[in-house]
Amino acid sequence: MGPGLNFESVVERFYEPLYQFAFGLTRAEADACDLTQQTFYVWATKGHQLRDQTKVKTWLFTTLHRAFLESRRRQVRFPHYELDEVPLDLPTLSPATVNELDSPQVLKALGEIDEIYQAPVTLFYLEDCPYKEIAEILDIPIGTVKSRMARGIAQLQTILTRDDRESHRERKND
Amino acid sequence: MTNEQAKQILQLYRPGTADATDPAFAEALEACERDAELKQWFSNHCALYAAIRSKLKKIPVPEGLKEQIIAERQVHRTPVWQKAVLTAGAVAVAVMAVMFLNPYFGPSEPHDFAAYRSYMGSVAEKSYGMDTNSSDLDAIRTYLAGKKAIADYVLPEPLQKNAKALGCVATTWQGKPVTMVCFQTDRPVTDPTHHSDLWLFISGNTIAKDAPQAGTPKFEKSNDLITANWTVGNRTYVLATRGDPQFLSKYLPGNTVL
Repeated sequence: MGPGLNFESVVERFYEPLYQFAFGLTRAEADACDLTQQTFYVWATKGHQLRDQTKVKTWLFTTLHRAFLESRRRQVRFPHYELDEVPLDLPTLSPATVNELDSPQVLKALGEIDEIYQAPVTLFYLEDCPYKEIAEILDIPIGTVKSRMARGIAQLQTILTRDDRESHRERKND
Repeated sequence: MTNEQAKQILQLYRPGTADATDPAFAEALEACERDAELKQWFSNHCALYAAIRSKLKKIPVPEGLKEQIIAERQVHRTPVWQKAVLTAGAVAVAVMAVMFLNPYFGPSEPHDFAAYRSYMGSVAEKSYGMDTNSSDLDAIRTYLAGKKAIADYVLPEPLQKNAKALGCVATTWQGKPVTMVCFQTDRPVTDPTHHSDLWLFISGNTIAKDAPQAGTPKFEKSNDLITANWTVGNRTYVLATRGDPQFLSKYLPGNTVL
């Protein structure tokens, strides 16, 4: 571990956003806890190799994301799309509609978007990292990050719009 | 730049972040200032982003996760004098792993039942905050059920009869839920701040691969504690106290073999 960085202070600073990222990926408390703990275990054993202390956050998120991918043992190589190939077909979803939903509903919708878009969309909403850092975390080119985010956001908003319509219909039927 | 092009770029804009100074957004942001319809769209985009973000930011982090991460690191921490010996051992292990082309090459932490008992024992022996204080076992169970913690446990009759319940803690071990019910035996209290001296840990029977499968309690020493461990149905139980198996057996079914 780098000088000036003690384990407890790194945990204190990053365990919550890491857990939330893990939960966004797995939507299971036990799996998210495991991923978070595994990430800090790797940090405890290998963190000293990180020379640039400003990269701690990126390092931790990258480690967690890799652990997640490893746990899923993905075999599929996903195609890379550039941003200009992504159609702009966002549904008309209003902030007021989202405000009426509760967190589990939004999380459920996040879980319904294509798996390939889930990590980029989770980072889009939860983290303030520059796109360059998100590209490092996900280990994909920045153009691919943006295209996956754009597609994922469109899917998420479509699902939220659909859920909103369905709940309106149910309320009418009641 | 057309409005459609600006929207395509700005759909990835995150208000309140470094995106405000990211040159990739600069031109599109300027376009917003010139076009009322685009400005309105952008305002809606920012509000929608904030609404979804606030919902996701409400993901609750399990209580005790931070403490568990730190505690587990302390369990793994190795004295400096051992590091040289361990390094040599690690090199040998790495060579063997390469030889066997093990695809699961990576860090692992103890997931066995002994590590679980040891960790829970250390929780019991240090100061911990009770989630709820009660001598009423039904109230404790109701509280745990309300918290969606493990509450479907079966207490041995001698434990219910011979020990006084004090409260409970809903915790986790390696992300798996564990319920800790704290009891007081008839021994004199030695620590005025800590009356519990008998602890029952209840977990799923998959808490560790080598978790006991039998319903008959098996005694095992864990640091300064003696534990009795058994599994009934899908629940694994660890009853722990300071002392010896003879003392612990007072709280276990009569057929327990010492």
